[in-house]
Amino acid sequence: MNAWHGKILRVNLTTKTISTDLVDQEFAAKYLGGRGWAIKYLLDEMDPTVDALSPENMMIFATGPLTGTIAPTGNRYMVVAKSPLTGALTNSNSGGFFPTEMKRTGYDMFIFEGRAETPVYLWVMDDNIELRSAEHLWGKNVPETEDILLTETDPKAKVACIGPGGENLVLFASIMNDKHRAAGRSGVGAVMGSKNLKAVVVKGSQKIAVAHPDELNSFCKAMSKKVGDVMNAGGAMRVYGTSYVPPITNEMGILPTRNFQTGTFEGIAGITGDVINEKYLKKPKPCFRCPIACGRDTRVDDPKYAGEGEGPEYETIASYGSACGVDNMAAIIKANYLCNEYGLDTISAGMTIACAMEMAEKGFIPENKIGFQLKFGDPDAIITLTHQIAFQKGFGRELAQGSYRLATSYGHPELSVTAKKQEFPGYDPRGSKGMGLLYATSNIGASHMSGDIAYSEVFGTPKKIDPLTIENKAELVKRFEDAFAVIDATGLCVFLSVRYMFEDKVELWPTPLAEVMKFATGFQYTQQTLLDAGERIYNLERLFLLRAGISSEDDTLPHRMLNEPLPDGPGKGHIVELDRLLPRFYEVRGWNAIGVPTKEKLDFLDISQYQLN
Amino acid sequence: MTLSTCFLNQPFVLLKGLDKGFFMHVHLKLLANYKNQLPPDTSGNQITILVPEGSFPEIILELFSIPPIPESVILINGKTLCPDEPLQEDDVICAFPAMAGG
Repeated sequence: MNAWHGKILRVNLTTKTISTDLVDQEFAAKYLGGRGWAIKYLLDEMDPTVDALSPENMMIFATGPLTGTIAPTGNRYMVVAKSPLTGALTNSNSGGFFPTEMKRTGYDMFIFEGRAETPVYLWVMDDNIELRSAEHLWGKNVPETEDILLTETDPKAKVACIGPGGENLVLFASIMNDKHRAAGRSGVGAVMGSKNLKAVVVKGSQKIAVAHPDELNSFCKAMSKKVGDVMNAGGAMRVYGTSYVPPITNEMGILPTRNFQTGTFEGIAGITGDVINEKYLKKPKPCFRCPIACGRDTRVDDPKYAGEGEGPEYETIASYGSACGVDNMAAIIKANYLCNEYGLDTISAGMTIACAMEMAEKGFIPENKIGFQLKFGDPDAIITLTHQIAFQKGFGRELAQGSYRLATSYGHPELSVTAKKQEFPGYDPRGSKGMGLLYATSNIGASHMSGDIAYSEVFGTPKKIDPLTIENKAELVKRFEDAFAVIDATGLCVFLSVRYMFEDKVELWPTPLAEVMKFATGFQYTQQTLLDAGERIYNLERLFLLRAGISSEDDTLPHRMLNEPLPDGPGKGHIVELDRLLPRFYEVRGWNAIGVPTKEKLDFLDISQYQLN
Repeated sequence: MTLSTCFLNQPFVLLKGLDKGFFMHVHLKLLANYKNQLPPDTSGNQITILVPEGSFPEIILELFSIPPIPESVILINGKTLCPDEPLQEDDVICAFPAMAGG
């Protein structure tokens, strides 16, 4: 088989047994890889109604056919499981170097079942596979864990692990790889912690065969050079990483400010990419085979917030910065470092703190519950509370459940800015309405990574569209969701893919990507068959949600987005007209009026066996 | 007087005491690496300039060597540019490179 190995490693942590599944080419091609393979296995092998922190939850690490190949940004993997935060699916994506090394072991996917009796880690060096004790690692933060593991295994191995966040079952704990890269969203770290699995360490020497190496090399080298030339000439993603975004979203009035009370932040001057570059940036940092190098190696020397690491990304600047009313970049970066060291999702952590800030200021949470007067704009509070969250200590115990459970417990669920209980990312959908529909219909709860139509509504890629209208948005959100499912399944990074692996038209037509996939796999993918595969993946995920008990009633947005107009900025007066967007979305998706895929749709996608009765 | 002549003969600062006549003040905000196209002594990412009434933002951006759409995103007062719509007094033209998200 080309591009794929066709091999899946199964690890039963309860029985401590390890086995291998083989997949055939038809399966490989139909479900693409990564996110597609994983959801097929989840649907076939687990009961979606189980507790996400029980041994019955399956956790899957999944690479794609292009992971580890010469395809530029072919360096991603996904962690797929049932989420303890949302009760829905999670597929959480990460890059760096671990995914490529995992693919080099000769396995496309690792499946983890059951629960180990005591903490363990998995060490995979090609076909030498061991479950080893991790009791000496339990309690250690992410960098310490990785450093110790590399001395015990191989200094050139790559590590994915949890920190105290995952060990303590924080509902938005992340899995960190290469110390600073995060499979961040929806609590995958808590799932791993619930299994007593501290880390996965990989080192591989297996080649990744491709069908047409000369054509693939030529095509991909030309693309890498084209992108590299843009970046070397001062491209914004190389110069700033994603920290170029705050002034843009602020200009558009969609930068989450004080728990989404508004979209313009008076402290914007303190949280721009220029501030990072002038004071904290050491150098840009690429993932494997990436010509962009959007990663940031940074350091803070201010003794109060001192630290060193990677980031922050835009999402962290929004969640810990403007959403919390904080314009102290050193404090934001410190919070970011803590989340990476503890293994916490920066988006959910920061946005949960923001929710708590609003509730505290309005008197809905007594001060004695928190231990100090909590208010927007306090840079020390975001540090203190992040420590507490990781160890579920003090008020952190409540914050660790996420903003939905926090706000509900104090009688004000309307102040939790979430969809399917997951905190919004950094785009206020009242000023970017396609994003509103995306948050409501994402299979993993509110997430920009499920089909980031902000690429068009905000960033002009492939083309700029008006974010304040709703015409055609249902069609475009569907296309973005299907396209992102394809990108995730192939193992590519969206930053390069949306701009260079799709034609330059709003409707995201994957002409270059189809070529790359043909050269790599040997299958005669077309643009349409790729998008059909993405739609197949999306519908399988939807069926998982429906079986888990999630319904069209959950395809909604918080009260603030539906009923409280933006008070200022270019989107002043706007809300999200979800009552008009959602029915059209169901129609475009080929679902019935209550959001269930029809027989006709499932027949078309050749997944009829999953039709709900 | 052509627009380009007007620009070349005037300093890039807020002009005070000038009889506005057929001119108006607009604000130019360049984000991300486009910021480098502003005059060297600019503090921040925004300047105020005097332009003829009825000017179009695309022309102004061309004078600052900003690539046109679709390579750039152009906002007027934070909203998506409407083609063929001239600028008004005090409008904020914002431009940044079209790229990925975050």
